[in-house]
Parts: sequence; C-alpha cells; structure tokens
Amino acid sequence: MEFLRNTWYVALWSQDLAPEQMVSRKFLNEPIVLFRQADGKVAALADACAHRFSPLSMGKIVKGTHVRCRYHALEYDGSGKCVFNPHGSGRIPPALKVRSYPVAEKHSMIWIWMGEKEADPSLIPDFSILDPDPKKVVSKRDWLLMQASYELITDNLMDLSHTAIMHEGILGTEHTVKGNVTIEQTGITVKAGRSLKNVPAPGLYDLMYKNDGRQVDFWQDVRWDAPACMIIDSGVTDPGAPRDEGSGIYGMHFLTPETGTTTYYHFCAVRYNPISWGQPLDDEIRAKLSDLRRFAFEEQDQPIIKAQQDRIRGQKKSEHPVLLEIDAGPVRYKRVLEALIKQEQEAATLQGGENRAA
Amino acid sequence: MGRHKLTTQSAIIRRIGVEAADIRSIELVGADGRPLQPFEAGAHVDVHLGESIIRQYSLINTTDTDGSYRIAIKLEPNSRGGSQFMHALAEGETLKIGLPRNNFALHPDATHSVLLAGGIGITPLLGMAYQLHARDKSFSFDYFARSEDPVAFAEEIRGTALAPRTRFHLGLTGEAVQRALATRLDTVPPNAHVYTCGPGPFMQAVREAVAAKRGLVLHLEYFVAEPPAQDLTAGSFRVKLAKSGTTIRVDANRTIVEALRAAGIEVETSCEQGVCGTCLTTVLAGRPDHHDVILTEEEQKAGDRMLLCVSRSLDAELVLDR
Repeated sequence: MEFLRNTWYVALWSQDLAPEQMVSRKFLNEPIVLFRQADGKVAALADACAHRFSPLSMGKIVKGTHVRCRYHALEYDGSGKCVFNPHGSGRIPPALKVRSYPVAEKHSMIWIWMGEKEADPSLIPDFSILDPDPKKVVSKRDWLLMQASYELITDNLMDLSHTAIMHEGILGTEHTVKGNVTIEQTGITVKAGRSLKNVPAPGLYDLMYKNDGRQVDFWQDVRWDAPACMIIDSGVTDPGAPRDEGSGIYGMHFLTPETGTTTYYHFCAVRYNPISWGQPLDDEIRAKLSDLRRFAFEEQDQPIIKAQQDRIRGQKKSEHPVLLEIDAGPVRYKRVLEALIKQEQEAATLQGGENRAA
Repeated sequence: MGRHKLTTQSAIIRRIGVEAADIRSIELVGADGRPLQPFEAGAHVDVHLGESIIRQYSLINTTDTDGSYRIAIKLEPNSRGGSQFMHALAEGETLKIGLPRNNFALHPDATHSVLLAGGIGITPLLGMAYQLHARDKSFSFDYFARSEDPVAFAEEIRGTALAPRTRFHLGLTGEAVQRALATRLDTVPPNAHVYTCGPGPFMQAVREAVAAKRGLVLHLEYFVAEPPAQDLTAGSFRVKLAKSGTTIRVDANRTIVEALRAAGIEVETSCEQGVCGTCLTTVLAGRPDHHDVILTEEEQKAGDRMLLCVSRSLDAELVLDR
C-alpha cells in the first residue's frame, strides 16, 4: 500500500505522553519512539539504535533529554544524534545517529511528519475545536489500534448511511437510512453532508438533547482533510428549527496507518450547545458519550471492516466494488488522496532523476 | 419560517455607463425602492431576457454601498443575442433578475488574496478588490488586457483608492503574461488564495503558474454563462460519436447510456448513478449538463469530460470521443 508521506499524521493525544515518558509506535510501517523531554518538548526518533538496531524504546530517558539504549547505554538527543558513548575513548562516529521525525503539538495532539520535505506546521488542518478550553464539554480523548486499513475506515466515516444500520439505536435508526446526501469540495478539503427531516432522535442524540424520544431534524456533516483527518458535525434540532437551536457533537476522527492493514484511530467528541441537566447527570452523559462512541467504533465498526478487509484480500484484482449514491463522499476523498500520493511520487521520481544527472 | 421565499427580484436600470468601445456597465436598483438582496463579492445574478433566456453576470460593486447591483456586458457580435439584448437596454427600463448566487466567494480566513483578471473577467474581481480594500485585507490586484485601447474600468480604478494596489498589464504576448504571472506569484505568501477570471487561455496560464507553486489555493470563475440546466434537462438532444461518426438521439426520458445501448452500442458502466466514474468520457464539443457527484465543480465547469450514465447536454448536440 502507498501512503502519503509529506503530511501531518496524528501520533498521540498530548495527554498520553507525560514528561520523561516514552511511547513506541509504528507509523507507515516504520518503528518510531516518541518521548517527551523534561522541559515538555516532544521528539520522535527511529526506534532502532544505530549501533546494533535494538529498539531505543526498550531503554530509558536520562538527564531529562536523552534516550539511553538498553543494550550498550549509547545516548541520543531529540535530534537523533548520539551524544554519549560510555565505551573506550568515548569517540562518537558521525554516522552514529538515527532518523528524527519532525513533530508539532497543536490542538491537544502530537502530530508527526513522515516525509522528506520540510515540515510546515501551518499545514495542519484547523482542529481548534479541540484546543483546551475548560468551558467545553469534551468526551474522553481516546484511541484504538484498529485491525483495518485507514482507507476502509475512512470509507466508513465518509459514508454515514451505515450509522443507521450498524449503529442502530445509538447513532441512527431505521428512520435515518434514507438521507439526503450532498457533496462539496474546496481545494483539497472534501465535505459530505447527510440530513433527515422529522425523524425520531437516535439514542445518543436523544440523550444529549431532550431525552424524550421526540421527532427531530437530524444531520451528519463530515469534513475530510488529507491524509485521514475528519470532523463529523452531527446533531438534532426541533423539526424546522435552525441547527443552532439544537444540540449535537463535533466527532473528531484521526486515522494514522500503523501498517497497510492496521490503523491508530484517535477520536473524541466535543459537544456544542450542550444542555445541562445538572450534576451528576452531566458527568454521566459525558461518560456515556465516551463509552457509546468507543463501543460503536470498536465493537460495531471494527469487526465488519476487518472482515471486509479479509475478504478483499482474497479477491482478484479485477473485482471492483459496485458503488451507490451513498458513496459520493468516499469517491471524492479518494480522488483527492490518490492525486496527492501520485503528485508526491512523481515529484520524488523527478528529484531522483535530477540527482542522478548531477 | 413560513415567509414567502423570493426567487426573483424586479430591478430598474439606474444608469448605463460606456466602459470601453464594446463594454457597457449597468447599475440596477430595486423596483420597489427597497435595496436589492445583499451579496458578497464574487457573486453573480441571473438576468432574465424575456421568457426563457437567462444570462448570468458577475456583480462588480460591493454590497456595502447602497443596495444596488452593478454588472458589465461585453458585446459579442457572434453570440446568441444575450449581449446584444443587454446593449440595447435604456436607463429606466425594468429587468427581472434572480437572487445573487456565489460560487466564487472570497475565503474568509485567507491571510492574503491575489486577484488576477483577464479582460472582461475583471468584473467579479473588481468587486472583490473593492471589498478587500473596504475591509482592510491584504491583497494584490493584477489586470491583464489586450491592448492600450481604452480598457474597461481602468479610469475608474485609477481614480479610486485601488490605484496603488493595481497593476495593469496591457498588450502582453502569451509568454509575457506567463512571466508576469510567475513574478506576481513569487512575491505572495505561500498559503495565499488566488482568484482568477478571464478567457480560457488566460485562466490556463494562471492554473499552470499556480500549479508551479506549493501551497497556493486557486479559485476559478468561468464567465461563459451557462443557461440554467432545468430549461434543457427535460429536452432531448443528439450525441455524435466522433470515432464512428454515428449520431444518436437521446430522448428526454432516457439516459445517454440507455440511448447508446438501444442503438446497439455497448458502454461499460457500474453504478449508473454518477458515482463510480466507470463511464467517464471525453467531450469534444458541446456543453455537458452534469448530474454526477464524482467530478469537482471545476472539472464540471471545464466541461471536457462527463459521466454518460446521468449527465445530459446543454446544447442540441454533444460530440463524444468514442
């Protein structure tokens, strides 16, 4: 599988990396160790000591800033340079260094740049909805390692008709199957909308809104940015009333391939227009929002997408899916992503050619 | 809620200006004395020229002024009559117009905007320049025109606060245009938004210049106005297949795919709902009336490819590369 490389992927929630803590991950098939230095700065290095390739993540953080290899105690700084060799003369060969990946901390997440081009943090799409703000009601900043490719998961999130079927009762109902699908593209941002009028509020939305099972207008609008970062604005309002009089959530979904068939899935939900029922109910609703969404992704989406992936793997190349109207979102984001990957690979080929000529 | 939804407005021609030998501007005000519906720069309106002919014109002024609309029309002697009709109008006449629509709005978060106008493509960009200036935003304005002959709106621009922000490029060759575009884009911040409108070759040059730079966001407005689709989708049209020379009639109740199949011509399809792209075909002549969801708005406007399973024709005949 080909990945887009010169782009920002979500590596971790900021909260999941404490000072002097190390986390081992694999992104795009590359083993990486992420660690936070004592001063709060995050670094990401190839997770293999340049000496004998033992994983640096098996070592520890020393002096607040260095990773020490478990095997021979070589120490690396955040730039990937070996800065201490306890053996012999203590000489450090210039080649004794590991690849360092650019990282940026923004919108309560640690982002990692996997490409060779210069990393520009201004290219991180706007997820300021997630900026820390004590006034906001935010569900748990959670994650899963999904046993499915990021593309199949993106297909799932860009076609929200499945919520009526796979997440029946929680995120949809039999009344929300037939949605009105719209599609819009601005530059390389793709938006797919879905709306229904005058239907019973699906479980989670009823819980967040008036908790009385009444009829509502319901919408689910997803925004996609490369490589696989999505916001799903979904909510309910009284039939015919403006959306801002209703209540809902911004569902945040960030997919980072571990391998071609497994994906780190970071998610959480930010309430808008939350209706307060007082404590302890508010905290209970918030916990339920966290639990139900995790359940939906892990227990409902994952098994079917994984099984779908297994089936596709066994197929002949000539078999193509027969698409429906509901696939407008998946089709459009895929066109953008494929074009970006192609562009990146052509640029890389060109570069290689020039180098050879020089 | 329950409010009557307007779809057209009645407007009176307040003033007609001669902007160049073949270009007239028309100022419109509400026929009932009330302001016309508000709009943002980049918007256009439908102007009804009789019962079934509708033309679209960009709004040149800004909405912040006095509730009037200002449009400009270039006389096209070979056109189907829209511009001739517009040039024959007189001050005080009443016109039926639509509500402003905007496919070419300024991006609200742009830190810097680059306006590139070619010829009569100045019309939407002039309104944008006025709006950006009024809102104290960072922008540049380049106006390319064919010759030193009176250039539409040049006098006006020189007499306003836009003058120091505007660069005129007059009578340049194609290569010189390319160089001027490259020079302009070299000086803009990497995430600037670029807006262009003008003749096809000019817009192509802008496209190429923008593609050579990383990070710029391009917005295109094609000023060849399409008649509204609903007038013609109901009708039938002909499809000519360039390779075989065969011409097939597509009736109103049939898709192109169905009509071709009925004539024994097989077309590979899958979804038949304008989603998958299997039947994507190159259009050699005629303007497709797109009903798919796979092509972007820009690709649809370019009109050089179409999905035969759902899309139809705006013209009496389409020529396909099949």
